[in-house]
Amino acid sequence: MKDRLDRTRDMTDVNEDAPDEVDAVMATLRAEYAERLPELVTELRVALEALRNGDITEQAVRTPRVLAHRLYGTAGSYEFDRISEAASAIETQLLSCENAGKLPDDAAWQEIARALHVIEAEVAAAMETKRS
Amino acid sequence: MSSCEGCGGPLSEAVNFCASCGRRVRDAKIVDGRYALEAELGRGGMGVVYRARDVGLARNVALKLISPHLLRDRTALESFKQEARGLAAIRNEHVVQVYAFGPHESSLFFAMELVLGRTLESIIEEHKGHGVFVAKPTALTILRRIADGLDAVHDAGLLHRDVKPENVVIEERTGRPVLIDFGLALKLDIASTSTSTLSGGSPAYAAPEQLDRSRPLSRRSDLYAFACTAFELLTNEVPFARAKSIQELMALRNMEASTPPSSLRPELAPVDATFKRALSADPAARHPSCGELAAELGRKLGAGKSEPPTFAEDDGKGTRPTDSIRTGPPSKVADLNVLIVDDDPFFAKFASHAVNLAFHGTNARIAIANNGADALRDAAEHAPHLVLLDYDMPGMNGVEVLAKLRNSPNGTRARVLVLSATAGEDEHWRFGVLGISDFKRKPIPMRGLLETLDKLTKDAGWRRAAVPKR
Repeated sequence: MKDRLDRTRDMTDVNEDAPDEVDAVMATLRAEYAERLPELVTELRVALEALRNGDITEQAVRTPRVLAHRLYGTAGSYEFDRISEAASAIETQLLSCENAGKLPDDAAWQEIARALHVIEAEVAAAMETKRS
Repeated sequence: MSSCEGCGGPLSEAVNFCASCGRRVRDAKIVDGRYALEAELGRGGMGVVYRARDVGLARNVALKLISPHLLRDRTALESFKQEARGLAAIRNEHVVQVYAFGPHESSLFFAMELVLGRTLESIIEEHKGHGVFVAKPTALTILRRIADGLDAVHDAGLLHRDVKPENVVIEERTGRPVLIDFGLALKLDIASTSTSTLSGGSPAYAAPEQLDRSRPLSRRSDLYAFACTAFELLTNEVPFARAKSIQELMALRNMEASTPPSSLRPELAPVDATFKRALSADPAARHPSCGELAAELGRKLGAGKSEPPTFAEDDGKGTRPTDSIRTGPPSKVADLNVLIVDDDPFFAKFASHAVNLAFHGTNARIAIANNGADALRDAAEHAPHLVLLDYDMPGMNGVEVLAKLRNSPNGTRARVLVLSATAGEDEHWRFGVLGISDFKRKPIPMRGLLETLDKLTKDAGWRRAAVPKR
């Protein structure tokens, strides 16, 4: 009997009709972040192009990795999983080159371009969903 | 000693769970009607220490029971009582706190603050194994705080008599250094008038007068052991490491023939004379207090320079101020200061909403800093209770920010959760040395972060941060 009473109380503690506060907050955050994604991805693309076009100052080498790193951690937390995974692939390529003290070779640039394409397609899809 | 039916592991008589497999083996043994013994933490010369649950106040404590075979020894019994009474009189955050003391069956117990963390000994060993030294600012901060605790012990009329790295614990999560194990503690008035009971202490750290019982002890005897501890923390070696026997050790101490610290770490040359004085064979020639020794080490090793300039007033260079989200009335002092340090403003925003959800309904102040300098500036004005800290940031990284934060006033009180996509084993170790054990990998889902905050909140004893229900 006691067990049944306890279970009843547990169930009444959870208001099934209450709006899910976490989901509501996440929906708002995702929408705001999605608005900014095109700008963030453009920033990454421009930084990658600068590096590929021969700007090898310390900042030019570091900036695309930092931007990819942020996108990996943050887009994933905002539940843009495919963007996060692709950003991680870019960061991995850049980091391994940085650690080896060399610039990305053609194979690395191909991987980076493929990942960037995934990111841009995902961002376009997110924008499309928002418009519709 | 009996064996666990589940795994065959040895069972201590006093505990109700198997330490190896966690199986419940008997009803909890209750001490003083309120402390349920849960697990054995360790054994010392005086007794056995258990982790226990204070069922009245719903908190974990360390509970020490004197070993039954010592109960027939009046000296040991008196020493045990002195440890409890002496400690109970001290209120210092760097000295382990006694909550209760009394008889239990034919024994005695005392319940004290449970300090979870690593000993300074294990931290030094680990650094030595890596072939590196504890960073000077960190070492000097630890020494300054332990000196503060020791001076409080002496002001309360007690001698510790066993100061050594093994008896300093760096608390997990906060990095607070705490002096423990007062099993050899003695009242100063007894120590200063008699040499007959002055046994004990660890030879590698004990003062000459404690080793050869030639003279009464004083607070300068503890200072000697504190100086040996400081020497080891800065050099990874004890001062008379070359001694092969107690006799040789005593001879070297009386000749004041310690190795200068600069021979082991050249940058310590400015404190060669400081250690020579602190390790004088004549107690009267030593520094008058541990605080004075720690202060001199700090001055000569540039601790003043290592205090982050960001703790002072605004540098006037137009540095961007931190953003703040206030969930309570702005004029009211916040119950909880939360500082989020992340170079990505979008992640910082995500984290701030998680904190808002976790501490909904409380008067929490949430500040966001996008770099280490801003974080330290905010922390200087509003000492944080909780820091959500990124590791990989331009300029100061997370470890550097934390090391400076720990040097600031109230900097040791902050619970720190490291949120990083890149921190690996080496970074975990560097954070671990600063007392941090809470790590979460990015990306992290909102509910995952909320659950982590909930756990941290419960551990810290703050108002519960419940994860909103689905």
